[in-house]
Amino acid sequence: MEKTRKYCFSWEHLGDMKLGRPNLGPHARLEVYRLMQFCFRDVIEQQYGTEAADSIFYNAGYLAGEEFYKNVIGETTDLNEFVRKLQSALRELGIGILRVEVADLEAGRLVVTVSEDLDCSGLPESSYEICTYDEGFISALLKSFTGKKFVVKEVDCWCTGDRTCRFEALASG
Amino acid sequence: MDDRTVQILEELASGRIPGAVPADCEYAAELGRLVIYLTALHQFTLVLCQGDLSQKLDLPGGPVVGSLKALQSSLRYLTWQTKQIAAGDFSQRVDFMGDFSTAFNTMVERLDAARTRLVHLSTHDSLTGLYNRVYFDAEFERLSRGRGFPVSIIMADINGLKQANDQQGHVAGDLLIKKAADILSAAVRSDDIVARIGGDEFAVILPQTDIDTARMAISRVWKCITEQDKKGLQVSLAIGAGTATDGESMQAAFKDADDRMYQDKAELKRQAAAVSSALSP
Repeated sequence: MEKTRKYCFSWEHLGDMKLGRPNLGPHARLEVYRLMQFCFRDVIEQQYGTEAADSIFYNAGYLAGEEFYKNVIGETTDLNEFVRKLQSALRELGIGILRVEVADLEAGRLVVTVSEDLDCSGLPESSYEICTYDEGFISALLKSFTGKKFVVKEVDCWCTGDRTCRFEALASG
Repeated sequence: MDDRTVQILEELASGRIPGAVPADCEYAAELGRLVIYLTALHQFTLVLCQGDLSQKLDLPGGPVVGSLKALQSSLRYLTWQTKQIAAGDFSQRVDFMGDFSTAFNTMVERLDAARTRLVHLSTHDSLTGLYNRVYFDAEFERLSRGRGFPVSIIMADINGLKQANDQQGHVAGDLLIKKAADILSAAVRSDDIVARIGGDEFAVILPQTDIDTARMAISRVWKCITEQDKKGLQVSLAIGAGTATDGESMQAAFKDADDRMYQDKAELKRQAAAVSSALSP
């Protein structure tokens, strides 16, 4: 199966920025990222429906979270170290400002917020949360760190009028 | 617009929330919703002011609701951070609350510095800067449970400290103790644990060290003693070593080192007595 696939993800797909962009460097405008993401959403939703589009973005976020943990965060067993590394990486890469509100690993419940979120901050208000990619991303980070599966749901979002996105994560199974 | 509606609007414009909106006044439905909205915001703010951060604000989003939730979120995060600090994580810093951040971070930095100072004081000997008995015992226990065997222990005791104290004063005695500490520290590795465990007694734990290597360390101690500046006070040490091959034999190794140190001391006394006897007329 893997051999027949064209787009099997590898961290190397991110490329060698120094080699490839000696003049422009590794940064691009956020609008470019959003242009691509929201066009993807549009086309995927049109072709496969809203539910499938959300599912695809959740799963893509999950894959990204797994790879991000492996390649950026690295193995750790200490919660505070994990949070610290994650906060630092998300801020440094301009993904968002992560804060922890509740972290009860024994009860399997976490509440985190992401301000100035890459995906949604500054978007027009709508009646639904849109950070499904982030939900998958956070879910994979927590799975990688704890070894447990987490279902992550965005409960507040810039798009629903809030100024910070809030995610509730519950261990499942 | 009817008078009652105007009156309600005037109340709202002056910052008050009307108790009720008459059902038959103009814009009654809209004003009713606005009053419910403002009342909920007011209640939420009150609860927040009272320190309850668990309340959920079930109102349609918007700049006011969003800002209040952001404040609640900041306070929740601050609470979490404070819990982490209470649990010993002094790396937490606040960067989202203006002057409060500066004050809070200064407090954490000072607490951390005070903790570091307290830990140092509680684990070090103030005269020599070596580890103290408390730290030695804790490391002894930790290494007994570890895997870094063989572990060797060196015991050392200053010869003639009482005599130096009695004849030359306690300043001289303290100098002798410091010199002994310097000699022992110089003769072993930086990650070996050198401790002053009594008035004139020192102990060194050498993890992952067999008896032959421990004896080499003792040779270095002898060399340092031999090469002392002959002008000042001369340090003389009685030394013994023992080696544990597992956690069970740590206490026995400690006793071996202690016994050998006393044997060494007895031998030194015997030699001194022999020299004294040979010199006496």
